Amino acid sequence: MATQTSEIELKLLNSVLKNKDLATVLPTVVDPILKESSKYESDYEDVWTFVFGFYKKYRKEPEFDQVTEKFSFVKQIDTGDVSEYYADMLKQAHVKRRTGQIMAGASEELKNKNPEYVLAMVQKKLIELNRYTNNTADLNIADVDDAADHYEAVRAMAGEDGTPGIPTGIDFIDAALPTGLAAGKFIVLLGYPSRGKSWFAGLLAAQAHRLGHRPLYISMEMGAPEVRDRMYTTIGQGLLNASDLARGEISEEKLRTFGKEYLDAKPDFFIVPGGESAMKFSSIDIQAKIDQYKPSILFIDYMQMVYDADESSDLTTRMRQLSDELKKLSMINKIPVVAISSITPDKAMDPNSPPTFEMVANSKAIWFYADLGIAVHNHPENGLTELVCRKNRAGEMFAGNLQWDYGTGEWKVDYALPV
Amino acid sequence: MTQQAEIKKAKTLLAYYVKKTGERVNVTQDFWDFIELGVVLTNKEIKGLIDYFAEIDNKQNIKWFFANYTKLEDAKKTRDADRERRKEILRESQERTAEWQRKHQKSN
Repeated sequence: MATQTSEIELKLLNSVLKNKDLATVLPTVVDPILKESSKYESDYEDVWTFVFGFYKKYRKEPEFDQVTEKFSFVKQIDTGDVSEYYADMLKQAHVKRRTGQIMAGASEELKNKNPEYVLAMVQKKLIELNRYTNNTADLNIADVDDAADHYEAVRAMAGEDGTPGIPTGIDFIDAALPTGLAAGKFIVLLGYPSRGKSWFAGLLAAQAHRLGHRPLYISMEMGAPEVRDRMYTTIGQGLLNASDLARGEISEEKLRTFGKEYLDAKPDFFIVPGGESAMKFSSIDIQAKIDQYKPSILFIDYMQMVYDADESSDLTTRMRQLSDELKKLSMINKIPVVAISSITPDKAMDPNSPPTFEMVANSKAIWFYADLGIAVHNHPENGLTELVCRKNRAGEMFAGNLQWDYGTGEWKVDYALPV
Repeated sequence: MTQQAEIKKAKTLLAYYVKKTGERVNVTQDFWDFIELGVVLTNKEIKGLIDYFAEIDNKQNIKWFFANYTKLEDAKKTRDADRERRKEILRESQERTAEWQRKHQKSN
């Protein structure tokens, strides 16, 4: 470790002991120092462990003498600034060192390893670095000026209908969701196989695109051309036919007319065939795609086929961590994340009714992390796609149906209870 | 209830089961389990379970039905309660949406 960094760390330690303000630098520097995975190099790790342990036990910082009694090598020096200043300096030094290490390591690995593998490893390490260097935005609710700024920003974000997020275009959902599909929200669509989950995700994506947003659709199951056929059908709402598109039976003239009417002067709409990736597709790859395309709303179809950052082999662990990571992705990137989740079949349950969150495959954590959960259940016998809210942190519970023809993309709302 | 009456009732339930599921059963043996089931459930409840089992069509047989009747009972209760709840939420949604549409049109 460079001497200069060691000096900064010593100054931080002295400052914390003098100012008794461990809490202010705990999340940004001290906590990462104590976590092995952060790769923080520290000359004073044992001392920080002692100071933190003391603080946890007695709810105050130890005196300097108590520290030197155990660690005689800790020198007392004058510090003129607040601890946060030294914490920032130390963090910057750490980021500089780690970035250099990651790049140098990548350069070395490129000599004898697959470039795609090296790129994936670099992305993973950079996100880990980012995880331990991002400051969390804590909020003081007593600060009314800050609140006023926030509400002004919300009003600025709101569209003509006053919704800060993206409206779904389905009135019974929008009536119960005052925020719309808003930034930082983790939305889960759950349902049995072949019951319209992906179609519904496509409908939300098409609606967002129609309103001028940039959707990014990560498809783990279907190929990109197949998803495009569905999106064209949904966006066209009666103009195109899904089965015709699948067979390529569309005239160039019709395609041009469709393009001019629905896609011209609209933002990009990218589909990522994550399932075709040669390597395990994880939340790190998702972040890389967000960085690449800068979407305003993200769709993941579907969660059980995506890995968490640690690529956990146990499905329950993987889904728990992935839920946490997707929620964080939505907050850090300030976009809504809509993820599809499959259902664990239970022989005693009625597969003809919309599922509940208790039936989500592999992990109940998906339920806890979700801000909004919608069960999607198509009833082929009457053509109704039932949408039932299973969780809504932003408003009331809702239910309704779409009389929906997947073949043509046309739909209208219906309030019957499908049996 | 006499033993003969119990056997008759069990055979009627077995016939009901066959009618609903279309499964081929052992008519000389399988009705005995309905006598045991009759100790804990009423005739109406057993018929309700048979209806539910036939409805979910989970490709299992009568042996699975008897071995898992408590699970089926719980699942049926959950399904029925959820159906009532959905009916209520549908009604509320419809009312809320009508109000929301009125307000939305006004603001425009």
